[in-house]
Order: sequence, then C-alpha cells, then structure tokens
Amino acid sequence: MKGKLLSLTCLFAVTVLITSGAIMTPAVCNPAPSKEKLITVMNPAITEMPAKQVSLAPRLDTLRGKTIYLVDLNYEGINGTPVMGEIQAWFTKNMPDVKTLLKLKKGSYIADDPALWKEIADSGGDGVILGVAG
Amino acid sequence: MSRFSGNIEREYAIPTVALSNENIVSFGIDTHAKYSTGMPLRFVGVPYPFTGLSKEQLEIYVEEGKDKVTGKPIMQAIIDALTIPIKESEIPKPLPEPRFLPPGTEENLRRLFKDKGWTDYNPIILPTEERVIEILKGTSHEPSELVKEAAGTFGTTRPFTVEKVAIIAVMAGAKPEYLPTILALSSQVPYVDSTTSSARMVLINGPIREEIGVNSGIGALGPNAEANSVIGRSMVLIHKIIQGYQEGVSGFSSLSNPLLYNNLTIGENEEALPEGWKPFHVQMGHKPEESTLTVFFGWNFVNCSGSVVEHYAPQLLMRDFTRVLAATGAATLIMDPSVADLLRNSQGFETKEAFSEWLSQNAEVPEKMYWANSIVSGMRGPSGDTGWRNKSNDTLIKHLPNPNSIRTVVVGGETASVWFITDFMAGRPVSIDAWR
Repeated sequence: MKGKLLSLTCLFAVTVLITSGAIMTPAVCNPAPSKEKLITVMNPAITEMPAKQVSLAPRLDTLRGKTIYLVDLNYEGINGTPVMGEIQAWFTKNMPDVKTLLKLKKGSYIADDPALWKEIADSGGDGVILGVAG
Repeated sequence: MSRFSGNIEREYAIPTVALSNENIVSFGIDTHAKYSTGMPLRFVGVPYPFTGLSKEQLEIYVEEGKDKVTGKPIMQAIIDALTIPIKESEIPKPLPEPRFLPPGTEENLRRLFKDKGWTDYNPIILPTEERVIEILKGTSHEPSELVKEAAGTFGTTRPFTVEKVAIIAVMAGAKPEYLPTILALSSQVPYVDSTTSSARMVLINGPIREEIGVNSGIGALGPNAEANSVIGRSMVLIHKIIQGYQEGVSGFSSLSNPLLYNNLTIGENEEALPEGWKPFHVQMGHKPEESTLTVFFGWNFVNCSGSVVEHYAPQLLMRDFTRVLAATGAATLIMDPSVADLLRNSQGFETKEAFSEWLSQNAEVPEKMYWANSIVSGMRGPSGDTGWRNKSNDTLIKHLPNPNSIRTVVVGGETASVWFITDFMAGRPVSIDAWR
C-alpha cells in the first residue's frame, strides 16, 4: 500500500510539474531518503593506565619432594572450608612425596596475615595454595 | 585474595596459586592483573557457591572437578600453576582515547554509546562540542583541570578532567548550573561496589538545593524533580564511564540493586527541621551557608509502610526495624519532617544526636542473628572460635554501638508521617562550592 501511495504521489508531482511547464520529459521519483547527517561528538571514555608490571616468583620444576602450604583464607570468618583437607588427602593418596601443611589465616578474609607468610618462608615452604574466595 | 598471592610471590619469591570463584576469577587474571596488581597471578576457578559444599561434595570435586579457567582437572590445574613457567606476558600499553569520536549518524552513535556500556540504556543527549561548551559555563574551572587520577575500581589509575565530567553531564541531561554538584560527585570515585546488593545515596545540603531546584520536599524520593533525577543519573554514568565499572567484567553484583538507577539523590529539608535539629552538613562541621554533597553506602532500605501511630512511639518501631539491617554498625534514618517534629516535641529528642544516642543504647539483636549475617562474620568475624557460637539464642547484642554512626536525614513534604530506615554509612560531606 505504501508503495502504491508513493507512486501516486510521484505521478501527482510529475503531473503538476508538467502542467506548470517546468519540465517536458517524465521525471524519475527517487524514494531513497537523503543522506543522513553525520554528527561529531566528544568522547567520554577515560584512558586507563596499566599498573607497573611485577614478575612472579619462578615456578617449581616439580612438586615432588617439596613442601606445599595449604592456606585457608577464613572466608566466612568462622571455620574456613574443608576443601583444603580434601586437597591434602588427594596429595597423600596420589603424590605422597609432596609434604603438605594446613594453615588457617588469621582474621577476616580481607585481612592480611604477614606473620603467616613469613612463617611459611622461614620454614622452607616451596609453594602455597590459597583458598577459597567464594 | 590477589593481594595475599602478590605479597607471597613478591616478598618471598614463593610460587602461589589461588582458588577463587568462577564468576570473578576472569577479573583477577585480566583486568585486575593489567591495571591493579601488575602481576599475572595464577588462579584456579572453582564453582560458586563453594564454601557451603559438604565434605562429600568437595571430595568428589577434588577428584573429578574441572578448573573453570583452563578446563583441566582441578588438581592438575593447581600443580601446573605452581610448576609451568610464566610466559613473558605482553606488557599492556595504555590506549589513548581521542577527544572526539569519529563522525556518525545519530542512530549509530547512540548504538555505539550503548555498546560501549556508557549509558543506563535510557536515551542520552549526544555530547556535541557545542553542548559541552555550554554546560562548562556552569563552572569557573578549566576544562583541562584534572579532577582525580585514582578513579578506577580498586583505585586503578583512570585520570579524568573537568571536560570529561561535562561530557557526562550533557549525556545525563544536565543544565549548566548542575555542573558543580556533578563535579563534586565525580570527585568521590571510586564508589564502593560489592558482589552483594549494595546501594548508594546522595545527599545535598545547603543553598544549592534551592538554586538548582533539588527536591527535598513532597515526593523527594521519587521521580519528581529534574535536578534529583539528572544528578542521580549522572552518578550512574560516572560510575560506568569514569570508574570503568562494567557488570560481569570489572564488577560482579549478583542481583545488583534498583536503588542504583538514581542513587537515592535527595536534598535535606533543612527549612522544615525542628528546633535544635541541625542539617546533616552542619552536624559534620560545615557552615549552614555552605553547599555540600555526601555519598552514603549500604545495603538495606526498609519502608515503615504506614504513618506513625499513637499507641506505639515512632522510635520504638525504628528500634525494632533495625533488626533487619546489615549489621554494619551503621544506620541512617530518612524521615518526613512530621516524624522529626513528633520525635522532638512529643518524645523529647531535642537534637538528632540525642535520638542517635537513644537508638544506640536500645537497638539489640540476638547475638547469633548478628553473626549470621555474612557481612559481619566475613568482614569482622573473630579469628577462630571465640565461643559466641555456643551462646544461647537469647543472648542480645547492641548492634549499633556507636551513636556517631547513626544518622538522621529529614526530607519530605509533611503529607504523611512516614520514614525509612537504612544501614547506610555516611561518607564525609564534600564542597559543591569548590566546583562553582
């Protein structure tokens, strides 16, 4: 219906133009809209600066014969989670030459425990598994 | 968690792997590593929720579960994180943002702004240079002036200027006279976020309220005034664009909070305060003629529902309602002037401070209920078992021990004696005048 109306409108326009003597040949009606106007706007985005890059500790060649600390974050502030015990049981069963030690971090889950990190380092800890957030 | 991993790796050179829930671990290994820690820390992703799983479920998970990051069996992923050498990761470079975006049609630009996460998904005003120049007439500050550097979530470096705030103000639909308030609001980034359903409130005090038409009277908490609506919306856009908050990328609020649509942007009805009750900003050390803005943060927003009744004094119901708050030790009461009048003239609270003191002394909850809230037990919990778990359910604890953490804001049109109680914690008021 829309196309039919458009055609009638074009015909009417041509008729008017011819009647007025403006053109003597049939005109072509272009139904395409005129090119839409381009706008330039300011950019709200912020440039985020990357943090200074810091290297991690070198990885271990193997866990065999090493001492791994399993540190419970005390996520819910009460008991911690038994998953660290399950991970320890897995090592005992599957990799018995890995020595694992369980530790409960002091304070809430957002509180740092530098004394524990030092204790792990001083006692020859080779690796740390931290958990669990969530 | 990443802070602890980083400390162990950096200070003691001990390889570390952290187990964290699958929903936020992508943040730890990408955005957080690039812009906050600078360390490609090793994470293993566990399902969420995890801490509530039974011992039997955990045993199965350790044997058969998969790391949500690599898809490897969980124990293999842990071992690999401690043993596979670090790849020389590419150092991320800042990608400078041009001052103007490439020209586009209005429709395409609107789509671009939505795709970039720069809107609240309501229509915005496109920030042409002419519009930005016009709105900058609302401040004497230079467009190039730095407002703040540490603007990102976790304090990452996202420097922004007065001009950037003006662009956002245009987008939100602001008038030039709103700009000092919006600049003051922007100076408070980064706003606190949480995976829980936290919210914010913006309180405006002083002469600016009348100058720009901030509603502090009838209907103040609803969509009934342009200034409240646009300034509250500006905070949404500042949070997304300046702070860089994107849900699921740099933030992970599971349910989020409908209050964040407008951030409870209100003015205090200072003119309707009862005798002896000071405006909030004056309580906090400002002069009455100063204009300030204060950002509050919290979780709960509880409606009293009906008007005050004769047979049960309003302070008693307020005391009772504090039981459902998040137990942060903070409360903010938002009350109609008619309620303030009742408290002052019928109940004898001659100042806001006197009311805070009474509530602090009389609000109690069972201790077990207090610690049952994970906001409290997780963030303030005692280290190990201090014996509270064995106490009877009847043991009561005063959960709002500090009267200075109990705030009262008077707002409303005196058509009903109604109030809200919240657990919002008040920030420090900041000057709006400094941004004129």
